[in-house]
Amino acid sequence: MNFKEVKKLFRDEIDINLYVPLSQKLEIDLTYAIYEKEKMILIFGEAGSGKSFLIKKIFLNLSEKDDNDFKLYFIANPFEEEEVIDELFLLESEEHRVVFIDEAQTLSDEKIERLRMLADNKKYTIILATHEKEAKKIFAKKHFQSRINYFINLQPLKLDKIELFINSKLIQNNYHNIASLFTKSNYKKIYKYTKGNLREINRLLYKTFDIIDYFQQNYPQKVSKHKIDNKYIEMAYMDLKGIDA
Amino acid sequence: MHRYEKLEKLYYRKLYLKYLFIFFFVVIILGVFFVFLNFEKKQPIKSNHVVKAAKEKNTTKNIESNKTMSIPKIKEVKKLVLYPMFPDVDKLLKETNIKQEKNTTNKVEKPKKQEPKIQAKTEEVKPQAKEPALKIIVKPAKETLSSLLYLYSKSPEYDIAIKISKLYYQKKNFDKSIEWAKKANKMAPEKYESWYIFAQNLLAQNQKAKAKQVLIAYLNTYGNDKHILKLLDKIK
Repeated sequence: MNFKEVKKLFRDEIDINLYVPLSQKLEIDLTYAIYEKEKMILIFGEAGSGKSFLIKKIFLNLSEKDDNDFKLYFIANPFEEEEVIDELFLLESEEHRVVFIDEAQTLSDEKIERLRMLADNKKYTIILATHEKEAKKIFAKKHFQSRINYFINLQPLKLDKIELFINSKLIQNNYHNIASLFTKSNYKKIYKYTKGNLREINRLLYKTFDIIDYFQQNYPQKVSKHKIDNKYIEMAYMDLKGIDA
Repeated sequence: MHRYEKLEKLYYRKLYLKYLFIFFFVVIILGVFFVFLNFEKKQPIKSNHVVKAAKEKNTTKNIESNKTMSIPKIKEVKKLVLYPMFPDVDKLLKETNIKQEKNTTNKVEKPKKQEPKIQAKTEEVKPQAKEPALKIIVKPAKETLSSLLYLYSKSPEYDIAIKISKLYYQKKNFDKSIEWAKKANKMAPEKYESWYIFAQNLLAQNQKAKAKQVLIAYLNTYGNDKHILKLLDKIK
């Protein structure tokens, strides 16, 4: 079993090929809101709850379609792409524009205000993905309350969703044999240590597979062929938490 | 050594400590449990439960011993056992007074009728009550008041209560003597000793008339007894 390759699936980076559709309803709702040309959509949740994955996936889905009557923009990091935002303000066109802004918490109050004004022109749909605290701040402003019709709160995964997430990721990439090694006890352990946070799940599994790979290379007798030993998950957690060996 | 190997060692060390903690926790819990059990055993059994149990034992013994008797006799025994003897002495005395007034002419007839019943009872009860093994263990070398009190706390029996009552009487602690006579009477109201000592105590307290009435009450309820009759003669 090639654990070295498997661990790459769980790298902490946004690779849309590794996207796991955990809530299709959420995707449909969001896409519908974009087609309805809503002014502002706010997606919020804890760090690592899958906001970036979700908006990137929808952005790509819409990009693939030829019959859109709007233009799409994606700003992954507004802090680094300030010029793009500035350009948006200068654009004058009758065409509708859909702007996805990830990490919206890095936007200044002034920029957010200007984005609101853009949305008021009815030519823009602004989709802001931000942390929970920032979302509350934005919504606290009265003039935003009437303009944001869609709030999408991304909650941490529950135990059954963790199982779905791991299995889907492995099976999508043809690692059926490794997916079958996971037991209920493994999922419970993963849930205990990550509390359902997608980023934490990825980090923990990346480390777990790295450890298993090491032991498989050096002490193959220690690695079970029938299941993932909880020992390796615990060791990965200890390593990530900086519990020194 | 690779850091993952060190990590593995650390993992096992943590696991060992975890199990050690669980082990000690369980040992402590068990230790506390056993200490509590021993503490309960060491405490003298003075609770009402034991007395109640003894009562129940006596009543069941009586009923069992009377199983061989005829049906009317069993009914009689039940009545006697349930009848509150010493605690309601005054009531009893009133009742006996009324009876005495009514049956002054029939005084001799009633005891005569009951004589054979009592004899039959004692004949059958005695062999069962005599359980040598128990008595040998229970009997102390010297029957001092404290040793008897200790014995009674361990196994509350009629004989021990009577002995305690007698000792208190000898020490002229009449109130205590009456108290223990009452305890004995509750266990076996049909036995004469408790009545006898009770009457003796009343005599010692210059309550001659009351003592007389108590003795007559016994004779009327349980029939003739030579010891009771003797004491009654003395009083007269």
